[in-house]
Amino acid sequence: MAQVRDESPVFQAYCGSEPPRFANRIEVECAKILDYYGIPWDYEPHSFVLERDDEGRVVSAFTPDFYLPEQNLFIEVTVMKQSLVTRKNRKLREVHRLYPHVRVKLFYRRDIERLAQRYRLRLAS
Amino acid sequence: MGHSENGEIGVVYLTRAEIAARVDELGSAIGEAYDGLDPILVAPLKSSVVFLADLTRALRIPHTLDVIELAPYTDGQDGGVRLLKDVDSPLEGRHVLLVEDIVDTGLTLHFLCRTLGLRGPASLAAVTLLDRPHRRLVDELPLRFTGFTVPDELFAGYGLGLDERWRALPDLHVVSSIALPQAATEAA
Repeated sequence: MAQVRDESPVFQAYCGSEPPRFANRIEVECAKILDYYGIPWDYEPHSFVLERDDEGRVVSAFTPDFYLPEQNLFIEVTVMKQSLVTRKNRKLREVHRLYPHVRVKLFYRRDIERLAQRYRLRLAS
Repeated sequence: MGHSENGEIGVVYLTRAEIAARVDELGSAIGEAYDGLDPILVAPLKSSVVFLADLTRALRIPHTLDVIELAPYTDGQDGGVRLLKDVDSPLEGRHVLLVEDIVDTGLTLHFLCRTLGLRGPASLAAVTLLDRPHRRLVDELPLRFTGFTVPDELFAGYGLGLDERWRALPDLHVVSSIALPQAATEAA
């Protein structure tokens, strides 16, 4: 997937070590909102292994987009329509089953639209 | 004011009578909890002003009012939240009750608590007319009083507006999708 270069990449509340390389415009906007409110955030800091083959190689994993350390919360952002997120939902259920202590919240397209409404975002790049 | 003057909007979710009854209950509960404490009610502008106006009249204990205004988030803005208007009163030693119209992600309330909490209040809590917890990002909020827990819908009326429309409607409406501006429905 082509990565997005942010035109204003100076984040105040970002707590990762490497500059974040966002996958799409929506992720940039979410990062900006978190940053605006001073909520410390990290970008894709952890992958959860969901399945390995017989030789121990990872065949399925899930990497949430954001991690909020103060809330101990992972956030996955998707702009796919609700009807098309079956695979992502299945992965999320697997994360909950294999890592019950991990808090992950999935933000669907509808959620992003709500945020866009509240924060007057331009979602179309 | 007729709805036709405000363009398309959805159905009534809470009538003015239902809201008034609940605000009265909130006033009683807050009055009991803060009796003798002379609380200061602090409301962020603008959506909370209608709720604040009704709540202050439903609160039958001595209290004071203040308002605060945050600059709205605008796309591409850097540098964090700016206060357009700070509270007028010193908060040190006061019992502060933040008055919110709606708590959604919790980001705004979290910011207000963090900011006002630095000023040494005797206590800091919040009352919200509407709690929409579906998209909550910050869980540890001092939300002590809640009017209504609402579903994952957009609301307008009773002070809540969308692009400054519909604030003056006396009932609370669900905003239908056809009433949304284009920016809210485009996807990247």
